[in-house]
Amino acid sequence: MPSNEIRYHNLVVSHAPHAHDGSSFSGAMYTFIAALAPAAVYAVAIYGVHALRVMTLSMAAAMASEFLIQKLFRQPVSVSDGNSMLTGLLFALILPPGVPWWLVVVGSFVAILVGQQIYGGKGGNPFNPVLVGWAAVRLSWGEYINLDYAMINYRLDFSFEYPLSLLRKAGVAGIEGFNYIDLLLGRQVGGMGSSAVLLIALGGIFLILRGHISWRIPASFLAGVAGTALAFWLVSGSLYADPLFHLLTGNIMIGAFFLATEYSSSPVNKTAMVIYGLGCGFLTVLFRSWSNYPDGVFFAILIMNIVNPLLDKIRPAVPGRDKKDGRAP
Amino acid sequence: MNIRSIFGFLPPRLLYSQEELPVKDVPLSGKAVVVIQKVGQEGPEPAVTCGEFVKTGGKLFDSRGRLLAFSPVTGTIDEIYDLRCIDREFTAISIAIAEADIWDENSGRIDGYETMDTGSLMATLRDAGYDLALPAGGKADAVILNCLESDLMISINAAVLAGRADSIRRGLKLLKGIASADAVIIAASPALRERAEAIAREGGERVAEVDMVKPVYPAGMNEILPRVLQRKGVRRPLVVSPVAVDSMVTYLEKGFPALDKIITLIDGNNQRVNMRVRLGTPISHVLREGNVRISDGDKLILGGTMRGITAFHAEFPVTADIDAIMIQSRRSVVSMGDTPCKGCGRCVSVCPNGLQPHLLGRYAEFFLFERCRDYDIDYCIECGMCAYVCPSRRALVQYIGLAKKELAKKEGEAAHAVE
Ligand code: SF4
Ligand code: SF4
Repeated sequence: MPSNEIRYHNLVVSHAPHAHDGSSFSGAMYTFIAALAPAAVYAVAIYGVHALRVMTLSMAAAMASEFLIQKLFRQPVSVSDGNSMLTGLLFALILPPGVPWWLVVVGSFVAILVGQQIYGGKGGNPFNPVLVGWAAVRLSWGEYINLDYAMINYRLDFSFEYPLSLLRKAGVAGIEGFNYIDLLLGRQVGGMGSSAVLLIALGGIFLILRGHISWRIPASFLAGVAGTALAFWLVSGSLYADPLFHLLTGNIMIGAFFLATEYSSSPVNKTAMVIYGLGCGFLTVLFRSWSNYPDGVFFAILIMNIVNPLLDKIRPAVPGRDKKDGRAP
Repeated sequence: MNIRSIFGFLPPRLLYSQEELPVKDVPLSGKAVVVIQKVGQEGPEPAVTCGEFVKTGGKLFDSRGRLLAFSPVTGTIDEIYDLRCIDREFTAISIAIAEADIWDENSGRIDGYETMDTGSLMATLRDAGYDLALPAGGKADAVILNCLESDLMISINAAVLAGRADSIRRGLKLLKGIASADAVIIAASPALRERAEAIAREGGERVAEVDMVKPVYPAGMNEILPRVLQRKGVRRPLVVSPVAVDSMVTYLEKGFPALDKIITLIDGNNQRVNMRVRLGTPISHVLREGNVRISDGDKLILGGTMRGITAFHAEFPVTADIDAIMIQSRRSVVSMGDTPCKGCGRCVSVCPNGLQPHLLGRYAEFFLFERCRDYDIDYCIECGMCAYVCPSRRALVQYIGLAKKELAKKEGEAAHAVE
């Protein structure tokens, strides 16, 4: 007797595709951290145990905050993916080494809670969490992270004055003493890691090569800075610094490669990325030239974060789509 | 499969198989199964009874006298039953194979098809299940023979082009007439250049252009292929596959379609072989003949890695639209899920149609299907690239499929309400 009874195995059934390129979010996060490692080592080399203290404290505080918040809200705990560790590290790298411990803890906590978790967690945040944490401490206890006097207690073999403050106070005459090679090599005052301009840029290029960030945002960010600074400089070379000085000082590199590219708060479409980057660069130089803040990078990025959802409405054309009607044929 | 360069800045390049595989003949098993997809609750009712004798190529009708299928073998119908495969329901007719093929004498050459006018030829073809996807208006600017494979890992077209060159050439000529097309383009990867050239020439004369296409997925999808041709400006093509053209010509010339099918059999270690199989052969028989074992926790995929559908049993028969049978062993099964999107944008950067897969996924996840439509979900060709690269391993294509289904359902209800 023929039988068409079905012999079942316990087969796995799922939707296509049945393959994956092996990438993972945690892989991306740890690659970001690896890309920042040279700058972190540089910070320790220059500022010694102070830098180490701030970095470990900041990472630990960020990770603990994420853990506690997720426990409290009964969310699955995802500390191991490295995202909060990266947030903590980035936050530390833009601080001066001598900040008090409570400021680090509060900043990291705010970054994770207000910057990320209240929006539903990773991927939902409209602003860069690191910058939310930074803005909170900058507005509340600005004098503690003021770079003007932050380095006065360190024995540095380069000027302990913050180039951008000098530029703002004394104009172009104030920055004549800076050698651009020194600036490039990180022999300048700034955030403990973000001042290592060359190392940060190399780390960023590594991320681009590994495919974790698009080149469009950093490139257009730097182009925006250079272009705007050039325009100012052409108007008055004695009032405004030249574009190269702008590119090599402050937080431009860490901003362009590591902060503006934060996944959730930056655009995903090509044109939008370019506009976003240019906007960041443009606003940065504007703030540097006309505002009270010596470095405008962080506020520029935060402002462009607000515009991001709008920018991402600029989508590529869909082939074969009837523009008027918009429905499938 | 993990194709990602160390320098990941290039988007992943998934290459179609360029290898020509040996073809192994699968002897007939004891039975063949003809499946007829049900439409709605009722579905077509086959007008056959158990014990009936059918001949190879014989027509099976439904109760209203419409042609349902062709019997691929000679034998006795021994069971008619319901069969499910994933989300589709079928009526299955099992035929116990009695003896060597006796060709059905009632199925013969379609008389005068060469001289028929386009309308009646198309109707004849449609009755036999060949629905030509002609562009609106009925005129195409080119007939494109799509010689790329339908998915990764599959490698059947070299064998098809070699074995059925004459039939395919005749079919292209016919299609050119039907579509009143100005050109016939044979689109092939460089590995198939000679095979394509052989079809493009008749005697000393060139009857078709050969267009070399980079064998990068998803170039072989009918929606994408016209855009990646070297010849630019093909806007309203009729794209056909070699297998379909051959089957169509066979039907017109003999009265029943091609009954043998070449498929690629891929085992759990990615070892591949091509099998020539009679339609209706149960997949379990093909697996046995290919010495491919299947065990708990494996995936049985009908089709290739990017677009194949998984089956939950191996008793489904080989049908004309199955190009590959693939076993994915449990250790290489990828799981995708609902981990939240991180907004990294990789899916956007690989979508061949410039869509926003991350948004489609999010909207579908929260049942905002109408928003999916605003974001051009109808243009998603379900190539799978977005889910392939998503670091959060979101089941993006499944979300998209869900949204499409819900939208279609809603539209169906609306149409019903109007009536
Ligand atoms: S499956 Fe759809 S949305 Fe995803 S990449 Fe392909 S076309 Fe784009
Ligand atoms: S690839 Fe995945 S995580 Fe990245 S934007 Fe697309 S859906 Fe979100």
